[in-house]
Amino acid sequence: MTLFTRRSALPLLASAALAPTLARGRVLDLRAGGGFRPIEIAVTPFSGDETATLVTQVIQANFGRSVFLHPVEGLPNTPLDPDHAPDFDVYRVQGAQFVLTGRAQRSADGRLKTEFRLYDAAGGEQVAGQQFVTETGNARRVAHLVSDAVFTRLTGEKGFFDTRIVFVDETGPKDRRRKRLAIMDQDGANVRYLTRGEDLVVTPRFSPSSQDVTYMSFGADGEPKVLLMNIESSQREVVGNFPGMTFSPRFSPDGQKVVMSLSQGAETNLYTMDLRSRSTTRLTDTAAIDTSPCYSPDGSQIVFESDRGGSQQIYVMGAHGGDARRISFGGGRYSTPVWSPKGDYIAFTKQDKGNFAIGVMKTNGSDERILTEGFHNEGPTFAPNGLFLMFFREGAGASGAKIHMVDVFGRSEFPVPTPSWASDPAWGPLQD
Amino acid sequence: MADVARRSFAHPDPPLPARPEADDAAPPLAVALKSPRPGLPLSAIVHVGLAVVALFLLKDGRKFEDAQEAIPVEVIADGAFKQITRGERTGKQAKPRVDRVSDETETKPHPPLAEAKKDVPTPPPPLKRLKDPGEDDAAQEKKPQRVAALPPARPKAEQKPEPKPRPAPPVRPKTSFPNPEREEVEAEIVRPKPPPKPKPEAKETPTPPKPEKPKPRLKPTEVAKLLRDSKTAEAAEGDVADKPQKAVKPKSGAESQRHKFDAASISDMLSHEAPQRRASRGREASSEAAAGAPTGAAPKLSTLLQGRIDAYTIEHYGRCWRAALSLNAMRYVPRVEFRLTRSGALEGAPRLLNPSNEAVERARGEQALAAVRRCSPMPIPPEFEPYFDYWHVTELDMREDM
Repeated sequence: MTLFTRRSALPLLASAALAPTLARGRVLDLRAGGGFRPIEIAVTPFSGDETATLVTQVIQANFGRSVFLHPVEGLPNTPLDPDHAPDFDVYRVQGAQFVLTGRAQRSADGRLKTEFRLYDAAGGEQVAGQQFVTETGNARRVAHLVSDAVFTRLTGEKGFFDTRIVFVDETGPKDRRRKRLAIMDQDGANVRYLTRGEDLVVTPRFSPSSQDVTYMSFGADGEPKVLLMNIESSQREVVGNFPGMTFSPRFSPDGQKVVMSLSQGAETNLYTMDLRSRSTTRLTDTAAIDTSPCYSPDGSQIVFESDRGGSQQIYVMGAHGGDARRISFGGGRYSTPVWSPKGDYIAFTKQDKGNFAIGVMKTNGSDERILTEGFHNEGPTFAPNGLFLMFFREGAGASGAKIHMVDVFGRSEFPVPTPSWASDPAWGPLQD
Repeated sequence: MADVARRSFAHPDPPLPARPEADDAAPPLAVALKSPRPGLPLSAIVHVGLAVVALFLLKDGRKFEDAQEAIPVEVIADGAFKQITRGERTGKQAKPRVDRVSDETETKPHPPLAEAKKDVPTPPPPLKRLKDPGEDDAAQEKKPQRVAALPPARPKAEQKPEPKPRPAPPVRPKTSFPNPEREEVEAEIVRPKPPPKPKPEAKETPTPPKPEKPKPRLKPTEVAKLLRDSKTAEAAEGDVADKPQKAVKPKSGAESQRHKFDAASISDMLSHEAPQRRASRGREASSEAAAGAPTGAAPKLSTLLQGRIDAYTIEHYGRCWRAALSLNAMRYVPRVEFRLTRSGALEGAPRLLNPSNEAVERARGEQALAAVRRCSPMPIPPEFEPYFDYWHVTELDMREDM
């Protein structure tokens, strides 16, 4: 695999020279067996004032839902001094592979200073340590940043804890549902309502910058409008009136365009619109219904749902239109495809014999895997690290839907707490 | 040309046919220099000549003998030797070296290695952590004094507008971690024993494999075990893998007599390194001699037994090796090298032979090392013990379950 150059020969020669002096052992192949087990991490109580307790709790809860890490239980309750290494035997006995210590304290100027140290319990060496300063009210956010730093250090993957979810909050009886746009932290905290609920809102989508959200709003006249809202300022603008639109547009990865589906008569086709010039380009031109488009993370392709072949299936085509190839071939109807931010998987909703399932498949359609099945599961959205999905589920006989989270391997599923019924989650990017 | 030829034959050499190209420097070879290019035949002549000369000159060289066990020289202090040979008043009759039947005889001649006792760390609980090799030096320097608190995380710049607490650059990991309790314990033990290698000994003192434990005999057995294990830790090939426990005893008295003493050079060796001496090679050699095997070869390791040892190892460590956490990590196969002591405990730290800089692969490599650590020690079935050389060093390719 490597070119045999003089340079590459040097390590060969060097190792050959050393070989007689190194006692090499036999090489055995070890296959990972026994299924998946998460990394055990002991989250010790952070020392400091009362924010330390909150930070510790948030971190522990984060890891408990992380699937890849597992917080060791039954630890002593006393905070450790983060300036000294802990007694690792205590934690090794509990099965911990890593130990997290830290401190969260308000400083004299009223700001919150937080620091953590992560240790390898077997060797006792520190493997990570950082310090944060922020406003006092931001304690939860710091806990998420600590969680992300630890998650990344241990798995090599990007974290997902410092993210927010935009969703549709639903209240009231089924026939007179009040739907409001809402935003919350990924763990369900800090819920804030973005609209007042006079108009029906559906399918919010995050922009790549995490500052803007598009959604569809149905006014009194019933005509759908696409709106663009800035989360921080709550200012909105109308992107356009699009009669016949059923799904909200999705942003391109560079945030310059949106892709959407527009119906004309019996046909529904895909269009892109440049957000600055507002010029639209038509991407598909079939007699079928092409809808629910989503860009690939590099912006070069679009995955969408189409019934051009006779039933709802998933297709992939270039971002400028052109030939589309089908990638879904299992039995059933496929819809709502979304492309993973890692680029490796496409998640979808699949309907088969009355069952709704959320699944993933590789971008060429292979390795299809169902992650959850139930009465009504729909609308997957990827975490920014591509390892988790949120979706909404309406149980049989329930009066509304709730949001759930699952990992892309289908190992574990957790409910996401919301004040009331909730649907159409959209997972925002890591905040910086 | 002809002039040249005649000139070269001017001196009293056996007359040879004149050759125009004859080389002045090598008249005897002229006979071979028929061709216009004398180089090849000349070279052939010289080589053959040398070979013939060598054949005759070297024919009385000794032939190589079979490889022999190196006779170890265990150097001990005069006083210690006297104590050894003095024996014990209340001890049982020392049995001849050859007799290895009974186990309890092993312990007899060793009582006087009392100073070794000092060097044997009674198991201090906090000492058990495995150090990575690079850390040992740091651990060394910190031992005597109580290092102050782990230097507080460098308070890095904060900056940032409100909503975004900016993570500071990671605090540089410190090399030493002052755990007060641990320091005290180490301080008193470490002084006679500077080398950072004590890990295997520390682990094994509490669990000597052989059951015999006549009360005062305890220490010597442990010492012997330490000696044996530390010796095998350093010995490479050529070591006999005979039953180590049995070997302890026979080595005793007779062997010591064969040792040389150089009083000048032994003192520091004994005082500092007794528990780790390589000298115990002698035990193996003598035990082999006692067994009557002239060349001291290890018992034969059949392919079948190799397979069994491998399967056992794979099954044991496989329990701690988990499926990849993410999809990227599946392509990368960490290769971990680790060494075991005779009792199956980790000797030193496992080593990743193919580390990667990519974040997910690096995490996967760490998990591989952690898996080996987590599943250590590996219990060694008795039938594998003689083949220590085979399983002393192992490399594991830690793959996905595909």
